[in-house]
Parts: sequence; structure tokens; C-alpha cells
Amino acid sequence: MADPVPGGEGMAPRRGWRRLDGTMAVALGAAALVPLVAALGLAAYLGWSAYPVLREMGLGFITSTQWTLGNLYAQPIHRGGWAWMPGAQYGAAVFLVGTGLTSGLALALATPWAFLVAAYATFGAPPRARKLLAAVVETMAGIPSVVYGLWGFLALAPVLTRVVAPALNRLLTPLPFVSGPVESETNLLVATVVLALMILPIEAATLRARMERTPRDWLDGARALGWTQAEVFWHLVWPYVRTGLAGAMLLGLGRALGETMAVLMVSGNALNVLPHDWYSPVATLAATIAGQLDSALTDPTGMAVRALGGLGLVLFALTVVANLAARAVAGAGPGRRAAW
Amino acid sequence: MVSQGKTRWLAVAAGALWLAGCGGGAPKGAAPSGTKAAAGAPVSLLETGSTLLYPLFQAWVPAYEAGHPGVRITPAGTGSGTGIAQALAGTVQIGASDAYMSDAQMRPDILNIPLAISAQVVAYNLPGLNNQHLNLSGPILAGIYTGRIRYWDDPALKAANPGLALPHQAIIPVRRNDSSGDSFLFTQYLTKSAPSAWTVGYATSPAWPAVPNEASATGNGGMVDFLHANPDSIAYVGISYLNQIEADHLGYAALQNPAGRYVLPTQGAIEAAAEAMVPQTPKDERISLIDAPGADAYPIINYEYAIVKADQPNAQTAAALKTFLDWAMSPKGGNRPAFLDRVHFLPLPPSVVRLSQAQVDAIHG
Amino acid sequence: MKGAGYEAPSEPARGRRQWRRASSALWTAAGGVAAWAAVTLVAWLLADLVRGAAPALTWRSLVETTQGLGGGLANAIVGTLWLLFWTALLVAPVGVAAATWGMVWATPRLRRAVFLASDVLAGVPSIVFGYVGYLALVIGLGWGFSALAAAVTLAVLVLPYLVRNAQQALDAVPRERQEAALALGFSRAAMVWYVLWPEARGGLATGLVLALGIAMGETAPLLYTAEWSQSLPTWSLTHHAVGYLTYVVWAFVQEPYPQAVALAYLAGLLLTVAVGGIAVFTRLGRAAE
Repeated sequence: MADPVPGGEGMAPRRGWRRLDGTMAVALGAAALVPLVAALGLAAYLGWSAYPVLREMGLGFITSTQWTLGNLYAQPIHRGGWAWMPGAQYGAAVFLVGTGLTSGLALALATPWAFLVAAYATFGAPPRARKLLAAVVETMAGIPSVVYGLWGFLALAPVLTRVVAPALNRLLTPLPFVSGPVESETNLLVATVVLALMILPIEAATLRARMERTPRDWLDGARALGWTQAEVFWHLVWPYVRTGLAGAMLLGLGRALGETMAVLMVSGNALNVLPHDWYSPVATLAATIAGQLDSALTDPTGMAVRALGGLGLVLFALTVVANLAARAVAGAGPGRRAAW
Repeated sequence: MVSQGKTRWLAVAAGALWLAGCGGGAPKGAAPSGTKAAAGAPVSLLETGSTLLYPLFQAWVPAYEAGHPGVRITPAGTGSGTGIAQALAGTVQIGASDAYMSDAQMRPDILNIPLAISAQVVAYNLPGLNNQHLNLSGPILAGIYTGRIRYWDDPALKAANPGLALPHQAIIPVRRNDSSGDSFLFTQYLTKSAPSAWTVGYATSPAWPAVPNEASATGNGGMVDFLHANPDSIAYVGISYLNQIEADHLGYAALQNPAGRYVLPTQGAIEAAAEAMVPQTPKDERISLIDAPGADAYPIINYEYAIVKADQPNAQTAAALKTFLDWAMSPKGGNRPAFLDRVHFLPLPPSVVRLSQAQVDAIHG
Repeated sequence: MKGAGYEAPSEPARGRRQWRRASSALWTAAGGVAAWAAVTLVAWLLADLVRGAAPALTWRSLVETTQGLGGGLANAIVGTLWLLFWTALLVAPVGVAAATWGMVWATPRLRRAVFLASDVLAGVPSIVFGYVGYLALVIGLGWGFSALAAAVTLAVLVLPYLVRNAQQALDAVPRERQEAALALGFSRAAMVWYVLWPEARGGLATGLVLALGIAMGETAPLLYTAEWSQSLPTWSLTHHAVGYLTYVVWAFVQEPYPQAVALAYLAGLLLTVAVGGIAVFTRLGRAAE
């Protein structure tokens, strides 16, 4: 690197820099406001957009399962000072349940999996396998959502629904929810598995970072005393991981809630119907905004677009809470990427 | 991307930001393509919308561009609702739609210009029976799409298809997830032919009743793809995908018309329906051709519309748009059998061409 | 941290050797199975990408533009780079400036506030950016489907990642060098210009490339801002739609035509390879420092 100070050693730069200091502080300070302004702006825009729908639907926005644009070939009617298409109703229950189910089940699948992967990579695996695992987890984190959707739709879905699901059904048949007739290839189960794969790297990376904090000499000492791998892990490492687990799950949740394209491609995008088992089609908040925006734009009153803004507002709130909680618990920021 | 001269780099960045700001500040309706270099820069026309019309546009565009080097057309199959909405918003020049616009959507400077006559088939994947044409009626389809008819061997289906060994398998009714002119045509057929069973009306995004094992797909291509991958499913598909339906060994139905006959979507049956309906076409050409009278008429046919704003941002775009639309509906241009036959469309009858022509003439820059 | 006051447990009883050995083997086996399951699935995904893209893996696919559902990906490749170029120009100054202000000028409390706001923004789902980007930029400001609307949307989306990466890069510059410059009478502005940014240059560049890698893989914010074009991007930043790779994956995968599906796979493969390339590049960059 070249000598950073022009004009000789020990010489402070020209006086102009003094005056520039204030200007630069203001200019850079303004840039520092951009993330805050953007976040607030997005929330305010969504709130402004959704306001008439939330006011008109009230609690029904959350509890009703009916999401219909109304009779688009009729004349608009006026309700509460706003124009609506007759019969229009915006209830997000189907999407809330779908979001909860996909995220919850993905978390239930990914968390123990990520836990084991992280533990194995940190303590169990031979050095070469560790490197491979690091590369694999980083690759998983980098693969774009839409590519997970591509593979999920064309490769995973047929195998899961035509091969795995019948076997699972033979195993689980009397049980409610986890067994039932397998109909189409786009369903809750496929969405769950795809989502789990997508949040696995975030959780694994967070947990591994925790595990690495265990003091080396404790580990060496315990091994010298003849402790087995399992004992070392449960007695020495687990206390370090335990607190990180919640943070890892919250980070995974934050990502799962907002995931759009992959879910849009494999979930079946149910409308007006709640899932009855995990082979049912579902729809999530994020995928519905992406998938229904084109339909909403055909509503001449604009109310359907506003209703999607309402979904966005709910989604915004959920993800921000999950990510802030993760930040509070684990001290880690949210991310579409995980640093292994 | 590793920077070397940090000063220069920052200056470039700042300059670019400023330029970008200028670009953003440019007045609305500014010429979308280089007005400065009128001769050099090609005019760009964006088309989006109907996936039923999309295969035809795909064939049209290379042929048209070959003869008109000053024009670049990008077609996109996104669903009729998108076509209407984006044409209204002025983000595209041509919105393709199988559905005419509703009164509430209409504005004085919006034109619904038919480009061809199309039809819709009801296709299914019923292993073992795909080489047969099932007889289906409005009430049966309404029953399937409301969840009252759940199995392929339902008495109503058996009665309409005597002698066929229908399996006891759950029916998967597939609907479009995007806003679709095919959903519009299909639900309009249900509304007209089964008014008591189908009560939610018709739209490009209708209020689908809750059916537990419903499924959805995006685009006509997505519908065919879904049928192919999922046995026991049924879907409504634009006739421009008929070749693919046959290539995938899927079945398609004979539909019941108002005369009570089950009719296959043959060219003759579509012609019979068109002959009955075309004379009723009003000046603004917004009309449903569903459920045409006549013993041999196929019940689901429609005009394929170009939704266009009469008021274009500049004369150059308006001229390019008019030339293209003229070509598209001309029997020597886009309405040639060479284009229409492979998507199973019918050419516009001369009386409709005259009406469309009058609408195209209203486009100005 | 819990570990500070933690008492090492007594050594487990020796009598249960069998049990101990079995449980340990089980534990290691479970970890191995979990790890290899992940490796297998990723290998399956990558192999599937290559297999699916194989029919489209020709020179023509890279140099020709898309024609309907066939042709090549030249427009999408160039369009993706074009969008990334503008995203970089928009986000780089803002992101680096925000991080610099947070590190140099802000009081500790304000510093926390800046990075908290940035983290909040990072958690916002990408479809929300797409929704607002369409309504506010494409329609509201009347930019139409355009490179500018898409790049602004992407820039805001990746801004928090750049802020965080830039903060780490700046944080890595030795404190003494900054303090020495200030002690020599440098104003803070001069210190930033002559010491902080030059020292952090590599880290800042890496941070920008990582942020662009995220932008490259996004679909939802672009569907309604860049829309899609089968021509190469034009110089006009407004009113001209732009093609990009993720669109091809999303739109062509659902078509029943083999050539469309092959193009979708090829676009997915190109994206994955590019992301992998970025990972290797940044790894090398970090190793070199």
C-alpha cells in the first residue's frame, strides 16, 4: 500500500480538510440514516396501503379464510368511504396458517439436523470431512431461492410424493395430519423439506460458532481423562450451545417466514382452504403476495393490491420480531447468507 | 471489482448516481426509446399477458421482426389479468387477454382489439382413459370445482359416460394461480351452463370455492405440466396447447353445448360457434362468445384480445404499434393459416377485421 | 456467557463402559448420518442442475437471446450484469458511507442504532421490496418496468448486507493507525480518506461482491420491477424492461416444453456457479489479507 499521506511525513493534510470534516460528517451521516428511513418507509408504505382493508375487515383479516376479489365484472360499491368490488373479502387465515405450518415444520426438521451437522463438523468428523462440510454448508447458503424451487419442483417433489409419501403412509397411517391420501406433487410436505434445507445452513453456522467457543483445554483435558465424544459434547459443549439454540432457531424462522420463490413453486398455493394433512396444498404470506399481485392488479378499485399490502405488513412485523429476537438472544444479525 | 484509484472510483460512482437521478427525474411519458436517433434505434414494443395467446406471439415475433427491422417486440406469457393491468398502467404497449375488460376497468382511451378466435379445452390425466374423450357438462364441471363431485366414478360422470370404466379415484381439480383469461372463460361457461351449481360468477381471478384437494398451476404451460405429473387431475387449458396435450398423452373432453350435445373442439365445431356469435359483435368488440347456439357449436370459444391504450407516449411507438396490429389481424400477415393452424385458432372473419381496424385507427402518439 | 461460572462435572462412572461406548458410537453415527444426508441432498441438487442443463449447454445458449421459450440466455446474462452494475453504483457509496459514519462519527449509542436499523432492514422479506418497488417506483414515480426501478429496489435490499460487511472491514483496520493519524492533526475526514478507506479497501470490495451475490440470486423483487425482456438491455434506464437469469428459472420451469426446462436448468446452473465463484473469490481474498 502506498504512503497514504501526500506531501511528506508528519505533515497533516491541507487546511481544507478541516472544513471538509463537517461536510463529510453530514454527508456520511445522511447515508447512515438510509437503512432506518428505508425500513420505516417500507413499514409506513405497507401500513398506508393496507389501512382501508384492515379497517373494513377488522379482526376478520386474520380470522377469515375467504380471500376473494369479488365480482370483478360488476360495478364497484362504496363501503366506508372506499370503492370495493361487490363480494370482495380479504381474510388471511389460510396464509397465516400456511406460513406457520411451513415455517414451524421446517424448523422442527432443520433444527435437530443442523444441530447434528454442526456437532459432527466441529467434533466428530475427520479434518477432511470438516472441510467438505464447510464447503457444502456454504454452498447451501448461497444457492438462490429460485434454484431450490426448481430442484424442489422437478426433482424432489416427484420423489417425495410418489416414493417417500406412500412409504410414510404405510408407517403412519392411523395418525392424523401426518398421513392421508397423496394427491398432487405440490404440497405442505415438499414445501417443508425445501424450506428446511434452506434454513439448515443458517442454523448450522450459528450453532457451530457457539460450539467453537468451548475452551480447547477443557476438551483436551476431558479427552485425556478418557471421556467419550458423546460425554464431552453433552457435559462440556452443550452448555455453550444451549443459549445459542434459540438464536439459531429464530434466525432460521426469520428466513423461513419470508421465503418466497421456492415456496411459491412447490407449495400448491391453496386459496380459501385450510390444509387437512401434510399432503395438502398450502399457501404462505410471502408466496401469496408474489403469486396474487397480478390478480390483484386487475381489481379496478385497487383494494386487492392494498389487501396484499396488509399481508406484507403482517409478514414484515413477524420477520422483524423474529430477527430482532434473534439479535437479542444470539447477538447475530439476520441474513440470507450464513458465514460458516 | 477491486478498486485501484479510490478517488476516481468514488467520483465515477457519484457521477453515476447523479445521472441515475436525472434518469429518474425525466418527465413521465418521455419517449421510451431513443427519439434522438429516430432512424437508428429500434422501437421496442412490450407484450405481456395471456399464456393462451403466447404461443402465437412466439411464432409471430420472429417472422414480423424479420420483415420490420426497426421494431423489437418482447412477448411474455404472464396471464391475461397481467396483460390488462399492465396495458392500463402503461408499462407495456400490448396487453394480451382472452378476457375482454369489465365495465369497471374500462376507460375511454382503452381498446379491446380482437386478433384471432380461440377456444378452450378441458383436459385430464386419467391413466387408461386418456385415449378416450370423456363427456363433460357445465353442471359436472361445476360439481368438480365446488367439491360436490369428488370421485371420477361419481354417478353424474357415469351417467354422462356410459360404458366407460371410470376409476374410484379422487379428482384433483386444477385452477390457475395467476390471473387468467382461461379462468375467465371457464367460469363464464360454468356460470352460463350451470347457474344453480356455480354461484361465484366469472373473473380472471374468480372466488374459487374451497375444495380440499384442489391444486393450482401458473400459466397454460403450468396446467399441462401439472396434468402430466399428477394422475387423476383435471384442468382447463387454452387450445393453443392442444398439440402438447396430445404429445403428453393426456385426454381432453367433449363439452356439452346449450343444445345438449357433447362436442369436441374441432375446427368445424369452433367455426359453427363463431358463425353464430360473430354477427353480434358490438363496436367496442367486448363480447362473450361462450355457449353459442347450434347443435354442432363448441361451447367455449373467445376472441383473443390485444388490450391497447389509444393514447401512446409518442408518434413513433403509436406508428409501430398500429403497423404491428394491422399485420397481426391481416389474413396475409399474422392471421395466415401457417400461424393459426398450429395453435388451432381461427382467423378473424372480415366483419370483425373491419371493426378491429376502426379501433386500431384510433391509436395515436 | 454461562461458561464462566461453570463447574466441570465429575468424571462419569466407569462401570457402564458398554453403555458409554454404545452411546458414543450412536452419537457419532447420528452426526455422520445428518451430515452425509445434507451432503447427499446438495450433491443431488447440483447433479440435477448439471443433468437438466446438459441439453442446453451449448455455445449458442450463451450468445443468443431468448426467443419465446427457446433460444439462448444472452439477454438474461447481460441483463443480470447490467442490473448488478447499477445496484453496485447505487449501494456502494451509501453502504460504505453509512458504515463509516457509524464507526467514526457516531457516539456508541448512535452506532448501535445505525446497525440495529440495518439489521431490521436485512430481515425484511424480499417480496416486500418487490411489492413496494412496483407500486412506488414503477407506477408511483412512473419509471415503468426498468433497470432503474429494479436496481433501486435491489440496492435497498442488499444495503444492510453491505453495511454489515463494510463495518467488519473497517473494524479490521488497526485502531493505532487511526489514532496515530488523528494525533498527527488529521481531521476525521482526512483520516477516513487517507487511512481508513485505503486500509479497508480489500475488505470493502469483498463486502460489495458478497452483497451483489445476494442481489444476483433474487427473483421476487425483480418480477414486478425489471419484468422481463428478450432483448439485450438498452441504455435507457427507465421504461425499458430487462431480462435476468432468475426469471428464466421461475418462468420456464413450469412449461411443458423440454427446451424451456433445459434453459431454466441452465440459468439455475449459471447462477449457482456464479455464487460458488463469489464464495471462492472472497475466500481467497480473505486468505490473502
